[in-house]
Amino acid sequence: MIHLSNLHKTYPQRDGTTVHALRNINLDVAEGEICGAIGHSGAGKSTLIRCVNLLERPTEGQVIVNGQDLTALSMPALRQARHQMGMIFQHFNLLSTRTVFDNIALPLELARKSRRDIEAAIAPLLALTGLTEKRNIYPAQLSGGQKQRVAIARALASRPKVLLCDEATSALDPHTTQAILALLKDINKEFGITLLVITHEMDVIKQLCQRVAVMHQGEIIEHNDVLSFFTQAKTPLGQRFVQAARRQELSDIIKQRLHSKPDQLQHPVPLLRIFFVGKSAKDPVLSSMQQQFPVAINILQGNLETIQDTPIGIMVIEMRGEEAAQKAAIYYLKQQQLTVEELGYVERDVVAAD
Amino acid sequence: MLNGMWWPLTNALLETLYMVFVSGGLAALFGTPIGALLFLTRPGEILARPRFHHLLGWIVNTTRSIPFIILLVAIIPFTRLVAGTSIGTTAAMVPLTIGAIPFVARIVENALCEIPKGLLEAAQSMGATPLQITRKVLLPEALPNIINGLTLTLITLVGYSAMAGVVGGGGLGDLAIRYGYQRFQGDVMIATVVILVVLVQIIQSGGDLLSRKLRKA
Repeated sequence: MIHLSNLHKTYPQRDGTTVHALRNINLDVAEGEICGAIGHSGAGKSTLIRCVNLLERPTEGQVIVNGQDLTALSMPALRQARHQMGMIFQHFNLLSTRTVFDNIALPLELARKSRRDIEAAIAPLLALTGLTEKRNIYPAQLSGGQKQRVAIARALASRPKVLLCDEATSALDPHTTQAILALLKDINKEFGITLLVITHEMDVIKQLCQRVAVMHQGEIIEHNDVLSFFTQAKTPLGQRFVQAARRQELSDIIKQRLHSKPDQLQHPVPLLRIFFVGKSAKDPVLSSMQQQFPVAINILQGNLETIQDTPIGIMVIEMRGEEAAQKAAIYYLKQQQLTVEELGYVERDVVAAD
Repeated sequence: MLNGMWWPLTNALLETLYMVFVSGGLAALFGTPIGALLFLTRPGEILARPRFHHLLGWIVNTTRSIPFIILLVAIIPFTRLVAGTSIGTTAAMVPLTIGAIPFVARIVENALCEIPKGLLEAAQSMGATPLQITRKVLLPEALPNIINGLTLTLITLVGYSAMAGVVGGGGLGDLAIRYGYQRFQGDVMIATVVILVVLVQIIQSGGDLLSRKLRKA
């Protein structure tokens, strides 16, 4: 649905140098998919999403949306193409002098729809976004979450195929963020709309997106599906985002006593971090391992979360036993589709020793 | 007191109201598009034309820097062309309008600058043309501020209209000069000043009220 190829965007500076906001961006978003781009501020996310509907014109490269090369279109044809793309913003961008209803009606007025068509199109959108009661109210009287709902309804009014979300939840509190993400997910399911989301919040990626692109200094440094991103991010930056989101940091007690080599320890025990994804999170893998191999495990830390309706368990364990048995047990775990990370070694009974 | 002056005073008030409101209205009509054009052609805006913007800006500034009394006389040939005559109340409205247009244009430009850039971006993302953006987004959103500016324009026009006597335009200011100043009729002078003070107060309060009503915040 969205196909960006070899996109570059440079801004000439006054001193003659140029700033590369985007470098060689290649991104495909399939129809009905929710794709997220994450990065720190200044990574080029905003420029990226503005290139999709050509609010920013890329210096080089192609933007193909719904089979149409937008960069080749004339201005009137581009405006027509923009009717098929909705966009929502961090600061909502509602018109303060229009009521909720009239804000949502704006794109239809621009497309010169009749008053009756507009009325018919908007009633279901008000119901969808839970704003039926608020139709004649002005934005100043709405909360942030309600304003974003109005903006979503407005973006959907022209029945777009693509919805662009520019940090849509960054100005909202965590509770409201959840509600807006749930609404976006419903909209994706119900209408099959393709979503491109940019954010700096891992929660948005985790709860909403199916695929993720990690941006750094104007480049996409990692493409991944969200599930593998959470268990095996490919890049150090991706890993940092995942770690921050997942509360999988080792507790200080363990961190202080962790050694990379077993040499200085009296009773070295390997410390492992295991990810259970999907089916393996439901199966009793650890206990079958203990039945098959002469090893004992001690669980030091663990938690479970749900990504894309798939449970992911993360557990930090120490594994006791003969070295050969340990190796065999780890091999067994890997065979069971578990991701096993060998963190290092600790003295046996690391936590209890305190 | 004010013996036989009631009719001239009423007549002068009507002339002032006529001059101020009609030329104010005309100035709003012509000044608003110029102001919008000034805004839209700014560097970085949707119709960025820096050279055109600077040329238009220069013309606006030049018109604003000419003292009104000079403008009044200088454009007499133009006045005659438009109004058919160069003297009288109607003729005075031509220079008043010309003088107020650049004033309104700057007020509109400034009011449009205050609109959050995100609104323009949102409208563009919906496929709005520059004209649609101006009519459906920019002007309605800026209207409360534009009304404040037009109030200011009307009050400035009350002041300018005092000079309309030079071309036989009449009005309260003219009455004050001819009777109050030149004939030493202190009571007429005081009466005109009181009427002007009340008039300005009413215009200001009316403008504030309207602007507040339009602001939905």
